[in-house]
Amino acid sequence: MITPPRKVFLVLSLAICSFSINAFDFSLGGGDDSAFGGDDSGGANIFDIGDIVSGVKDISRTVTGIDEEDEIEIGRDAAAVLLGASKPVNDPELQRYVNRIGRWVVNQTDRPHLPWRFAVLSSTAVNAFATPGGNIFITDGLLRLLNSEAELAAVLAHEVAHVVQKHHIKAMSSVNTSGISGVIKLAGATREGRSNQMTSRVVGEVKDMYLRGLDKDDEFEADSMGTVIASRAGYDPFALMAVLQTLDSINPENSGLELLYKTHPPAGDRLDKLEPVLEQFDEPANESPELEKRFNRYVRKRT
Amino acid sequence: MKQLFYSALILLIMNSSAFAAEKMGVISRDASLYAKPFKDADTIAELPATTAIVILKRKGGWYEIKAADKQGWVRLTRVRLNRKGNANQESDSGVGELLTGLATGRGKSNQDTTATAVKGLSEEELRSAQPDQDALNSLDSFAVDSDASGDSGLQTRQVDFQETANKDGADTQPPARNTTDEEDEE
Repeated sequence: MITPPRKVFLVLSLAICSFSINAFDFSLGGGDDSAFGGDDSGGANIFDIGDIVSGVKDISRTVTGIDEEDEIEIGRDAAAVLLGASKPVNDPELQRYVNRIGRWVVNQTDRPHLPWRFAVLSSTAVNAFATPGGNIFITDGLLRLLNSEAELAAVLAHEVAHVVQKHHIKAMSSVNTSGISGVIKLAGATREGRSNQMTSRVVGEVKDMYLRGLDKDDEFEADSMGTVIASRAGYDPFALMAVLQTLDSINPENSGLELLYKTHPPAGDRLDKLEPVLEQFDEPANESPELEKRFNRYVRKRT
Repeated sequence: MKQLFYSALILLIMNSSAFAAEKMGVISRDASLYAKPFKDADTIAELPATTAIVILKRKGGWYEIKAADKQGWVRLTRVRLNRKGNANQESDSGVGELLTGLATGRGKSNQDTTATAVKGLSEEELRSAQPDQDALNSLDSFAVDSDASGDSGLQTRQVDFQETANKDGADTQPPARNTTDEEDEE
């Protein structure tokens, strides 16, 4: 049995331990961690016992910032929130088709091992979402605007690029008042309470991020990377540009585009940025007629 | 209401095949009109920005177009599709109009934009969303293993990532758009 004085001692030593781990973290700053800023207020938080326990338990992740396990957990929480606003379309064949394409696309990236999940959501809004760790959603509203499997692959590849580059983790930690420790705290709190409800704070953070959107430059980067990823997969490199041209042709005041344009640069700006990326592609991709057949079967010929 | 929704869907489906056939657009930057979809093909004409065009089809990075009395191929990157929803411009790509009908049910008047019928993942719905763990778990049943291969004859290619080029386009003219629609966002 631990007597009360000893317990206090334990907590204090954990606190010191936690603090020094954080300090160590910042001495390593730079590289990947530069995105997280240096505004950690670990010192102020050291007497938060939950913080300390989760901090000490995961020494490895405090060294590199957010580890992949955290990323996946945060991403699952975020996905659950988005799914609270729109359900997957009840069409198993379609869902499996989209997962097949998505999987083929992610196999061309550096992070094929993530637990990738793709889903079409029944929302009539025109949008697509990614959450950390590999959950990718496309709305039915956007899917119905697409003209080919290559365009679908291009949209998925844009979202995949956000995950590969950890853009959402960056966005969460840059706004969070306590910087990197805040996100770790979120992940820790979430993981400790797996069996319970997600904390309302996590839910709030997630909603804020998806309402605010990512950094504009991260969107341009996802367009550029997505184009490359999809073309690595053998798809038409111009498909994402074709999708953006379609979006650009819709009145931006259309309510179906409201959240998309609140969180993304205008399609015209994205087209301008993407143009130089496409200079390297001259040859059209050699796509087999099979692609059109199955796109028609699973996507177009729906009611 | 439901009927309206389905008829809009049918229109949308019909329209997507129409799209493959013909669309209206505009040259966004000065562009060459080629006889064939290759950069070393013969040049038929030089098309200045804002030239109105009809798009016949797309082949990779090229659109086959008609401009006035000429027909040929231009780079996809030099084209913008026409936008719907402004007073002076009747021609359209079609998509916007249908989406407008589908998503907003909005009439001629611009004041009606608040009458929204967007279902799921609107700002309000996201704000009030409650996490749905069951829906999340249900995604597992559609997941595809990492060892699944491309069974579609797709050939992977070696393509490198590049810097997002064009730092604010110092050396490029702004793209033109033959619409009077003000597109100022926010």
